[in-house]
Amino acid sequence: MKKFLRALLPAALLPLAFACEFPFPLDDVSEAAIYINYLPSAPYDTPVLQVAFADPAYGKPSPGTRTPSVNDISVTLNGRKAELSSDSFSDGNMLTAILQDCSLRSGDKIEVSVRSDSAPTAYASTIIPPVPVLGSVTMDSVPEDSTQLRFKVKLDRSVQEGEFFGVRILEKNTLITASLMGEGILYKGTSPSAFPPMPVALQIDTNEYYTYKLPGQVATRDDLNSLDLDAFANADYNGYLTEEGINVTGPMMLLTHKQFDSDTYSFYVSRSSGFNWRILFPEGFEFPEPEMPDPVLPDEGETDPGEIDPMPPSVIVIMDNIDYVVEVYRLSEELYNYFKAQYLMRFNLLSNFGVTPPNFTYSNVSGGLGIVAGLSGVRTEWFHHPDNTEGKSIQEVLAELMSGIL
Amino acid sequence: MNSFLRISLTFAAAILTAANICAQDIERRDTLDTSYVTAVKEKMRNTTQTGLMRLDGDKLRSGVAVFGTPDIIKHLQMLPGVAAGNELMSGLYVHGGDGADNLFLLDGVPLYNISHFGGFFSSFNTDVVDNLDFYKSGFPARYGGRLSSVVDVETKEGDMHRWHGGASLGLIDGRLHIEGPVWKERTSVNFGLRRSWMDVITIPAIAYANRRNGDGTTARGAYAMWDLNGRITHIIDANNKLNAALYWGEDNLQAGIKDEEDDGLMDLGIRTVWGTLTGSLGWESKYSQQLRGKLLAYYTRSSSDVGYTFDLRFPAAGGGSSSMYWNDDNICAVRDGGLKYDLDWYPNSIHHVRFGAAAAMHGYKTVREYRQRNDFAGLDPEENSDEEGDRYISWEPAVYIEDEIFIAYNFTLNAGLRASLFGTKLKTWGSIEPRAALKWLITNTVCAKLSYTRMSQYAHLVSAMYIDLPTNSWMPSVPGAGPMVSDQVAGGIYLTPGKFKINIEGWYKTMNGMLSYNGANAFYPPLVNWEKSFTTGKGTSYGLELETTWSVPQAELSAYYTLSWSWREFPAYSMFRFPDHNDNRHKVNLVATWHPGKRWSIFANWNYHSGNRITLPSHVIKFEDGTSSLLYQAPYNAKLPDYHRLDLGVDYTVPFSGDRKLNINLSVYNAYNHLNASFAMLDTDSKGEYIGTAYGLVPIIPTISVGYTF
Repeated sequence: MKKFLRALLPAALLPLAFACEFPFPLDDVSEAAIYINYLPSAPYDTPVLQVAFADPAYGKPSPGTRTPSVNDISVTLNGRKAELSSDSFSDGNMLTAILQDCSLRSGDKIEVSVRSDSAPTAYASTIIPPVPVLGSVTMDSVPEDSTQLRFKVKLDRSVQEGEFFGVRILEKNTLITASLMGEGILYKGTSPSAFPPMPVALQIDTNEYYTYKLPGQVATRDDLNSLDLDAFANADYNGYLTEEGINVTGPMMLLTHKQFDSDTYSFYVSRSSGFNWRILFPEGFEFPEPEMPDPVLPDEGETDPGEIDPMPPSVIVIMDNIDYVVEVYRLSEELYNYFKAQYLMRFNLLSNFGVTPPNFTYSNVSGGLGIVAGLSGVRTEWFHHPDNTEGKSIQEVLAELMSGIL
Repeated sequence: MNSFLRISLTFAAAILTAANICAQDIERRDTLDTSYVTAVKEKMRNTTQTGLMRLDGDKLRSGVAVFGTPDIIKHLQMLPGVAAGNELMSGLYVHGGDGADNLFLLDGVPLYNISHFGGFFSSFNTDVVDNLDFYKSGFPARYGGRLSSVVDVETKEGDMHRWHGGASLGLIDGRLHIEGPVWKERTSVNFGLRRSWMDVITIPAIAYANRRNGDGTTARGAYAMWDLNGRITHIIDANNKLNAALYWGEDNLQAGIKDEEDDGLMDLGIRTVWGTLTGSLGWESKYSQQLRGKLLAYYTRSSSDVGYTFDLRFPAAGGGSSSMYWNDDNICAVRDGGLKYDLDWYPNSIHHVRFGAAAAMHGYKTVREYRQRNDFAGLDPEENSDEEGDRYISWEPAVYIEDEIFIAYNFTLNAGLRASLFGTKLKTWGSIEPRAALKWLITNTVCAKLSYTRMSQYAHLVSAMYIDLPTNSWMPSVPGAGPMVSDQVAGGIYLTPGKFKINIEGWYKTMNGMLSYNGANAFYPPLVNWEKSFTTGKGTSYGLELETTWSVPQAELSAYYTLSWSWREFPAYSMFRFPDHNDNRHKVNLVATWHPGKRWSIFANWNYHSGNRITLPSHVIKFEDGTSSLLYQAPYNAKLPDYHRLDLGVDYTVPFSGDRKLNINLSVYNAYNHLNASFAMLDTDSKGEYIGTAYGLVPIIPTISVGYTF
């Protein structure tokens, strides 16, 4: 039905095809304004402060000073002036700067003020919200759905109305690979016992990859039916809480007290395959039919056997270890609203057609536009993927692999 | 002459003498019978209120008929203090309200859905309408349950003396009306029926197109709406009268596509049925000369069923055939059963007390029924069915009392109080609503009024769009989305110099607990836990209305002007207040009626208002590489081009013997074909600069309707 509803969308927009369009003046829509973007967080991060001179989107650009300089910016932390780092840089009308030696804590009040000769002074403030206190966080498999992992985040107390949270989940993929050197024949199967003798030359590498997953809900039919995307409301957040200092933009699930069951929020993550044997096939390779005899040969009548020529696998993954960290954030109300607006901008396709509530970027900057909003976060220890519970060490896996190959 | 009549006559005479202004509606009659005195008191009581406009059925039936059908809601949209919202829709945004906060009563029974065809037509058949009271402020205590306005429609009692009726055919619908005595001077009936006839054309047209297509793919589509109004009146005796009323209206939309080949079939369809059913039984009694009462029992239901089906049949690999079928019905319904008892008491010439009680049970349902059947060759058929959704039962008792007090020679006060409760299994709310209206007759041609009212609304329309869709549903207040409350102060000066009537009214209104959809799906708001997708906020509206009318027997000219502001404060949208979607700063309506002869009537309406608000990117940040980033400063930061439209109408009547006559109405909507902007989007010109591009959808629409009255 979801597809059907999606198919209806063009039909609903059909009147556009017959609409008569005509330009109309928008010169009075806006005047030049200062834009501020600053999302200070505690306790790990040192986010950047972005300030820009925003021209009216319509009409003539404003004369006068364009890009703000560091001297135009005043940042105070709990009433005391905070210094901006000297290594700020400009890109067009935007200035990017970092606060110097600025370690933030819960309850800190940050005020940002930017003056300009050609636009009204912009001002905004925020207070770093308290760091959420975790009661417990658990991970388990979902018996009824083998493709999902379920996480249950329990706070130390019930969530109240007016409190806003965010959840991110970071996946660490530890990949130990063996690169094959020399010629070989491709055999299908992922079990070591299926491997025939292969060339000896192997290079063992260990790499760690970090990916933020979407900590969403399992879509029930209700969700599909109503397309209740609010259950999946998320926004990209570029910050980090990991000890490793990984700074990766990742989706943050947005939560209010409505999504919590008192003090608990449960979410699901698409389960990555962990701890299995895999062969990374050359790009363009197509799997042979199941009944094809080994070694793989092209189908009868294939006109372009080159595409499925037996090729040696470039890499054998001998261990794929997956771990997760859950990050729980407490968001200031203005940050929640800002993120929610960003989310709606992406998904509410019919908005701004005059028939639904509007799409726009939330702003809490008086005299200008943009966002100054604080957050704080806490992270869990690493959760090991359930499939890792076979309990084999890397050495054991390696030995098994070698015995199969060699 | 008994004491009540004496008192009443004294009361009426005093008022008539003191001030025939504000009592301008009083009809002068030669005989002062009891009903006349009652009528005088009724008029006087009504005119104490601010923001009240009474329209009679004849006026509603005449004038410009868009698509050939007179429409009550489109008539109300022209009045000052009312924003129409999206063009052609039956939106009614009164004093900054949000459109779902108007109390529609049909013979005292609340209606939840008042439009057909997604809002193009209202549900009220003007053939059977006797009169309509429209309150924008100064709400009497007997009304409650909605924030912004009351539209109290009374249907006609059937003629007790003779049978008569009429039939008409318009551009998209046909109407039939008949009334008369079943038992002369004791029992009468009045029935009105409307039905659209577009499907009479579309069904064969699509069938013809399918035949010409001939590739095995067939489309189907049909839309029809109909409604039936009926009223039976029985006079038991001089003191007792029974009324039974029925309204039943439905819309039916079916569409689909079927692809049939030799060895398989794919059929995808949608079937949507939505409508309203109300029934009531009223008993009016005169217990004494001082006390009258009306007992009303009613049932009202508004429901929709949006269903999808998918049927796939295909040959199986090993022979035989396989099939997949699913059916999905999304059902929204609200049902009310209620009892009202209203009493009118005239204890003396100073007081007219109205008091009463009401109790209603509401049932709300949003349910999805799902059925699936897979029948693959060689395997056992697999069937699944499920039902999910929310159901609520709530109860709502209310009591009220209001007293129309003739304080002094030139002061009248209508003071009232309404108290109500609303409970579900989740929570119970209560509301105390004071109401007061004061009238000061300054001179014979000038009076002033002042009113204060508090209104509360427990039911919410769960809708993601500003237009009526069958997917919209009504839901009760729940924790997280509680009742809405409005407070409104209104006042005005009312003058009647000569043939003119001039009203100047101002209002200030606040609304708390307003809801706005804050989700990403515009088509289908959530079926379960709906409140999670809504955010709450406040509204403020204030403005000034000017209403002038010049009338002579052959012509009437009215000019309405509204200067208004409508603001919203939704913390989830902005830290600062922002204009409402329908914040039309200026609104002008000119209405002209001219009867140059017995056969001709000419109508003209000119409508103007400042453009509706829209949200467009307001700022741009430019980067060194030539790219740019667009930003929004606030919601509804831009205004569409001003809206203006001229409608013309001509009635030509061909009289026959007796009361029989043929009426031809020619109406032209948007006579000078000005395409008004329905929405706007961002665009770039040839220089790469951003410009706004507005889109107009509704051109000139000429229509003709022919009616026969007998």
